Amino acid sequence: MSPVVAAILQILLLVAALGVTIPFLGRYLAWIFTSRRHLAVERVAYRVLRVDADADQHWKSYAMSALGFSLAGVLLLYAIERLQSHLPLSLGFAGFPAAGAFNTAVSFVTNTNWQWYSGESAAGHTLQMAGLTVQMFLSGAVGMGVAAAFARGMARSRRGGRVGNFWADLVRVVLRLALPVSTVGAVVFVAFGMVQNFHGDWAMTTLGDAHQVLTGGPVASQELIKELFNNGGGFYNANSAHPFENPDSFTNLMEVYLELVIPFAMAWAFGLIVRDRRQGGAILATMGSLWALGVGLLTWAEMSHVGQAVKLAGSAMEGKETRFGTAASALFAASTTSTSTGAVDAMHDSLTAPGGGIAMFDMMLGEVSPGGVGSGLYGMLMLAVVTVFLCGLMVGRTPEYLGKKIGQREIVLVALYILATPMLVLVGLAIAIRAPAGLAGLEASGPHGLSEILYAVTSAGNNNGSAFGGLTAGTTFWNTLLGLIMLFGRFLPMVLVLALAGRFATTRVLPAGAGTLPTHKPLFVILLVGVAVVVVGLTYVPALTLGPIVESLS
Amino acid sequence: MADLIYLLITLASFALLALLAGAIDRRLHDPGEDDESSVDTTTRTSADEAVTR
Repeated sequence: MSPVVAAILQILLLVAALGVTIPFLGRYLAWIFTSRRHLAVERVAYRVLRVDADADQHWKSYAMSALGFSLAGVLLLYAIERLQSHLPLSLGFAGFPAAGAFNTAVSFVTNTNWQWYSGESAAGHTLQMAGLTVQMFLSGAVGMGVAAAFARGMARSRRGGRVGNFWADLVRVVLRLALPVSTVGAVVFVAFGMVQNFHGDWAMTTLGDAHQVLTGGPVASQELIKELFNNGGGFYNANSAHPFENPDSFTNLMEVYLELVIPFAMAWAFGLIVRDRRQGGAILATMGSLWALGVGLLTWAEMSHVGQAVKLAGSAMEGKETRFGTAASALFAASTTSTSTGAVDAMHDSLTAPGGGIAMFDMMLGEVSPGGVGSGLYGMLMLAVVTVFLCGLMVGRTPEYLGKKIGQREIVLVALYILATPMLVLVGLAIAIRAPAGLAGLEASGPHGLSEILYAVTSAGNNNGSAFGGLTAGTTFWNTLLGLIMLFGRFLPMVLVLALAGRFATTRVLPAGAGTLPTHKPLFVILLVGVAVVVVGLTYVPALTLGPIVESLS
Repeated sequence: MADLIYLLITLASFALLALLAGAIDRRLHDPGEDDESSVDTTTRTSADEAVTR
């Protein structure tokens, strides 16, 4: 079978699996976020947390709960990292340095999972399980809760800014979704050869009489949630290119499926929450179109790039895992950057220049194609509001989305949201290229050197977590800069989203009139794709031009 | 010392975000021309009027 046919078949298989799952999962998610009943185990959790899960929170109270909970997560994880050497199952590893602990704590609490360290040579089992993996569950749940709050805000009328209950959302996502799926999925992963044990280093002699050290650990139990909640933090430094973390082509495709399924299903759930499935379908179609565009372009870039070595190999194989090949690596790279996962099964630094540029552009869109488990939906809905606003300006009508009038205050919140991440990324880029400490860790110079830095700050600002491998980021400068970019890149947009949700929940739903822009038709999907590419993507064109585009042309 | 610095950075960052949420909430509550929700539609009683005075 030719590589092109194999590439097309695996994409078709993936799309079919997603197509079958998304309606069921979307319905289940909508039930999680709208059900009035609490399960018995959830009531126990509320008692332990000492919260009233029936209280309908004002958006500000919801935001404060999310911020307070996340702050506690950062502080707890920081303490675990710093005190690692005193903890059981530390495998003799020392505590993280202060800057590294700050970076990693923020990274996992913000669902970014940027890793400056190598997991197998720096993190013991207690830190991996009780620190990092716990935050993989919780950070995704926080994002999904905020997306659900936004959807509820849109569905409600004159509710005084009340958008639901943060604690109920958090506990339900963890107990009704993350834990059961992760438990079953981890067993499946183990059945397919993924490692799950408490071994540390395991010295062995190979057939060639050489000595090799293999590192075991609780990999499968971390791997499922790593992909399912778009975390991306690997147990091993090589992430999903490591055979213990991604044994074969089936697990590779399954990991891509897991990255995509919840963000797409959240769009379906949105349609159910606002009681108009067509609206969810339009958001889903927009996300799917952008994802397909990214996959197509990145696969083309990796399989047809010019160059003697590439021609001899048949495609750009440098930096790719030979077990997967170029097409599967391109599919993984496009999916991990268009969701906010950041896991890798190939070295992104070795992507061709246009391929690396596309991976960056996927992230620069704001992680909306389909994006993070929660941030993808609310990011796309913010763009939908921009689209409706622009169309309203063109025809001279007061814009409205799902019956909610988009006035001055709404559009100011959306504008701040749109500007927040690019500002963090581009200011971070400027600081890094002006500071000697920022340039010190670069292995490459010229356009590729700029791409290294641009990729790092883009990944941090959009809470992706993947990296080009040519930047030594384990320094005080980089750990602090990227830590701050990750923190504000996560919570600044989140506060603005919740404020808009509260605003929508305050206003009444206007009936659709003859001049209302239909937001469920293909024309709106096309407009929304255009707005995502033009309004958001073009913000980064100067930086992309000096990096991957110049590199492509040279 | 480094721990204290990063603790302060973390607390200050979250405090800034909380202040931002508070500031936005106040702005959203300001009555404005386009803000139909800010119009007080509740019926005032004479007791309310007395408290206001």
